[in-house]
Amino acid sequence: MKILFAVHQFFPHHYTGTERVVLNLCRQLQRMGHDVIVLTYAIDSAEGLYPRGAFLVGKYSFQGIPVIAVRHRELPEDLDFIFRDEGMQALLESIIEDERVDIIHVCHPMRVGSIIPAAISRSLPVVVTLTDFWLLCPKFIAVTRGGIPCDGPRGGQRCSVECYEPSWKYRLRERLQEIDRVKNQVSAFVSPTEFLKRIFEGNRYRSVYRIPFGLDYQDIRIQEKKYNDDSAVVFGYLSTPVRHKGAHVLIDAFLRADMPNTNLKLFGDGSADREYYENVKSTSRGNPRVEFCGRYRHEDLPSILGSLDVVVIPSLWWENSPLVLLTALACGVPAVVSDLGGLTESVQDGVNGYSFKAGDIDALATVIRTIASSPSRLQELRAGITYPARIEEEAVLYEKLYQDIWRPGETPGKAGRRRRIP
Amino acid sequence: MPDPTNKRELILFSLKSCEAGEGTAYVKEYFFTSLIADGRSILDLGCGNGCGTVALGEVAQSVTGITREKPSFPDDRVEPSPNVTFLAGDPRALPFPEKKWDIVLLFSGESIKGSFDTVLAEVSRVLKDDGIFITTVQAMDIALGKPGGKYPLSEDSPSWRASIERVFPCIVGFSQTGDGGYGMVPLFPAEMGEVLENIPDKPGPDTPCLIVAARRPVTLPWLEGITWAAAGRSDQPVLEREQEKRIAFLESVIEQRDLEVQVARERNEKLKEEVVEMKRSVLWRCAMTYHTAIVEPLLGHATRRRRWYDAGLSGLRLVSNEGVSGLLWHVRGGGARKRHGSFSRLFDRSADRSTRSIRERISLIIPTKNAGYEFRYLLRKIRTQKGVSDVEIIVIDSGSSDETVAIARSFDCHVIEISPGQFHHGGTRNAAASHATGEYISFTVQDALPCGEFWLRDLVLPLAEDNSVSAATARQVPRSDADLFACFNIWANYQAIDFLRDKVVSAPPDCSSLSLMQWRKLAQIDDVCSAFRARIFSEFRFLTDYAEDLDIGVRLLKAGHKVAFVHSSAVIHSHNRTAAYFFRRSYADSFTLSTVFPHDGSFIPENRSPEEILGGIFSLYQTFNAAVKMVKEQSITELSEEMTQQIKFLMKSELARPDTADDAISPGEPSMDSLFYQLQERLPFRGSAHQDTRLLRLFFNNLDTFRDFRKRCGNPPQDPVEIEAALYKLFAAASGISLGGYLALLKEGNSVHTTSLETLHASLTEGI
Repeated sequence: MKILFAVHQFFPHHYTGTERVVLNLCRQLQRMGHDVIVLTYAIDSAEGLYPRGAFLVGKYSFQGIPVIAVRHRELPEDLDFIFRDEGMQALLESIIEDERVDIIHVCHPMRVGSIIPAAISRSLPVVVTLTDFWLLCPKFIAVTRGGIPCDGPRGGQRCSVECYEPSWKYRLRERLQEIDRVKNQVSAFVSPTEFLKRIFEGNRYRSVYRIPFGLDYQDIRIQEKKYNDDSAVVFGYLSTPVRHKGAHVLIDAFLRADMPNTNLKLFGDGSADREYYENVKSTSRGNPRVEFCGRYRHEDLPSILGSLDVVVIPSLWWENSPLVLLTALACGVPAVVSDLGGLTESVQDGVNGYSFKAGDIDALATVIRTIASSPSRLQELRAGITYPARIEEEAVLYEKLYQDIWRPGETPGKAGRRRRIP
Repeated sequence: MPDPTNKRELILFSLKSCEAGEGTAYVKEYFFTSLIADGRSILDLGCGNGCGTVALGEVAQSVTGITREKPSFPDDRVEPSPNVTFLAGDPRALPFPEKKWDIVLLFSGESIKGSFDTVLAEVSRVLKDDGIFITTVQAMDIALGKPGGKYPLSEDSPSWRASIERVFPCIVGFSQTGDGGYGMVPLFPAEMGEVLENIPDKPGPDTPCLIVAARRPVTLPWLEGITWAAAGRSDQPVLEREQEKRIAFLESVIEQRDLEVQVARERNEKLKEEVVEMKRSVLWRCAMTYHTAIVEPLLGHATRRRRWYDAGLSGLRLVSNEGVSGLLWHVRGGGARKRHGSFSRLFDRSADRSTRSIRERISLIIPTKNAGYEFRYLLRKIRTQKGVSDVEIIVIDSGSSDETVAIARSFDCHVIEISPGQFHHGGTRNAAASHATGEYISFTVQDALPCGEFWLRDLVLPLAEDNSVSAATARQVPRSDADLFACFNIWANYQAIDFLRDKVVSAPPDCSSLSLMQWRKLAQIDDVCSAFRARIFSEFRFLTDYAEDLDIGVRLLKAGHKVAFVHSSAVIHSHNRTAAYFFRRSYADSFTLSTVFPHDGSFIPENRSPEEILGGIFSLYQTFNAAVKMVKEQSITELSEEMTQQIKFLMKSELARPDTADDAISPGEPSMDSLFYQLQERLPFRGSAHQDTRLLRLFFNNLDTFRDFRKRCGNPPQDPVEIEAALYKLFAAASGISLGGYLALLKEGNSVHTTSLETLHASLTEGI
């Protein structure tokens, strides 16, 4: 079957979690004999795109995966807010027709959300993988302006009170209604975690299925370091240094713990929020045990994890299933995580890592002291790790889902062809 | 001549005229100090030959140099002025009272080996509160962001910055620019590019970086020689500016939070007022009266009437907040959510599929030998399977020399050990099965990894649900590191046997005339992932050492049992092998299956010896080599229709030429070249490609199938090396099949070529 993956941004310019999930899934489905194509929004540059009506369209290939990039000629100001754009929908309908796609798999609907009504209008089955809260929260992180995690928009009323000006009330409600109109015609929603599944089901999304993200284990290098109570411990932070990822919490906690046998290495591109990054660096006050290592490439992740003893994810928002966490566990590196979101589904406190109250510096400092005062414990934590799913497993589970909602031989546009999982 | 009225020029002249021999760095250190020495009292620790100390006397109020010995000036013209004195002493115990000096210098490390911290403590004691301490580090260390580097003047000292900062928290660094002035460099670790950007002349290993340290920020307004000014208040140390920025940021955060709290309080007050207003309203009073006078007496709590009433009120509230669609969702969708769990539709449409589990014991048999690092992963996956209550793992190991047995025991497996020579595909599995105590027996291999948490349950479920089903088999999916041909091989196999969905099969009424391929479609059980009813298995068991899984499937079907093909259950299993492996493996498969199953009748035996047929294959291999090379020369690198037609055309053209048997042999694929060389040594062969049209047809069919596979995948761009390797494997597989089929017929017909047949057979099946 031919599957079109829709994602808000893609390689080579963007290479974080969702993009990598799509790339790995596409490559594995190709190995299994399926035809895949990626549809993305060229947010960075119009280079290589040619005019097609009010839009620009281009094609390229990345690691054997064909990609179609689309873009408005003039970027709308609310590009990351709106769900559906009529002009974009018409364009995507013609692309679907040209490519003779069998199934649409949306991995992030921001900027390309019009693919869903476009597919429905062509009677194509649609699968949506929920990677964050964008369908509920235009800010996609579901954290209010006051920094409190939010569990739903309440029809848009909560957004206009907590996060936006009251004048946005109607726009927010209209956005949610637009999504509501099509979501019941989506064949299946899929979540990588139970947590996100519950949140969406609590917000009137029908039967959300669970398929965990899979890792490509040929990139994995198992860390086999042995620990005793004299071992030094290196803590690592591998997320983008922005406020809601909580790097400042980690640094404060590390300094407060003040354990001489510990070091902290922070990896990540500081250009996303330069001011925050500089402030975080100044917080460390030049402590020689705190090292800012800058940006890293995904290919270097296994060797970076080999140099770390514990990965810390001090996020202040509802993380879903960060690939950094899964990769760390697959490499046998225990993790310390905030008790928010889907993080504690992969990390069981005291079994394969520790969890702490999100934002609580003292709690995190206590965890750091616990580990640093007894590094041999890391051996037990490593033994308690349950290996994350493999990309082959993820692909098989999605393939089963596709086969359940699509039957070969049925032509596009035929009434009744599209099946919705009840 | 220097201007005698310009003291700085005089200093520089003095220094240079001394020909101190210390190098340019020495001159720069003292020249820099002279810029800030006007009217100050200076203590120079470790003053070396004293020339710099004397030069500072021209501008400072007083200068005292500490040295171990009386300095001997190299130049007789050097004469200390009255405000310059030299004392013998130890910087670790200075003979001065507290807070005496304005500036303390430490440019030389002769006297401070191993005691930098002690010296710093003394410096701190004798320095005034607003005094400054000046020393040097290598500028390159700062550029490379090595704040933790050793103090260069004392090999035994720890991190220089940590030491200095403990005593003097304010630090600023200066480095010389190309035009002789002094510019400011950022002191804290930074990206290499950032630092170098700030230093017009990239510092070499010897370029000093002068560190000025103080207890509190001091202004240095007399540094007129600065080449550029740092942004903002350039007269303040960098550290202080960073701290001020952080304080400003935190203050803005506090201000914002205060504003938010204020807004929240006002909203709260407003809401309270609204509540008060609401309670005063007539509508509220009527509603409360209605509730207390009518609802409460008539609709008591916990009664059914009351529950219906409350539900109705909730519905009205829902409609008001979320519209009619919200109400409908709760009535319809919410109910469905309770009924169905995940994956309730993935095998069939029954509502409670996901809750099914296998209560009976399943005995899972795994033959092992040096299973490798993924064996632990496999066993952990099996032990964490859901939907199964009792799994007995039986590991039958044939002589592992690694940790396989220990790992198996650590996962509570029943381990049976046999010698390597005792291993047989069928017999070994039978031996393990004889130890099984489960209701169901399942087989897998040491490098097949289960897909998902319900793999084993989904595999055994057809047996649990239908008593007429006695065996089940699942499929393999390629690993993420599988090469192109490995992916194609798996795909083509399942296309050929029509294993594309879940199905249960039974043998047709008249199965005596079924061909091999027809039997494979019905009975191709796979040892890599299969399950049997234990009772049935003990009756039928594996009887052959090769293709034992297909053989048992055939016998089960002939006896009236059914076999389930479970497409929704899968294991991750593939290998990247050489072309020579596929030649030998295909030969072994074809030879064995041809002796078991009736051939399809399209094969016409030709009266040729094994040497001749092998020679024909080799000639065709040469022809194929030539075709591939010609295609590469034409830069066709994608497996398009054009490419396959080119290869076919070129091969046919080669065949149409006069006998090519004597053509020069050109190298092709290394493993195939090596295989043919070895076979030539054991069984000298001869022949001509013109005779083997059957192989040509078989290869062309394989080529078309491969092209279809690529087309199905959208014909994505592929590494031409991988496409070429896949083509050789295709040819090797076709050759092996052809050779195997023919030799099987020869053997069946009691050919006169028994000796060469046996030699060739032994060579090709060795290790397979």
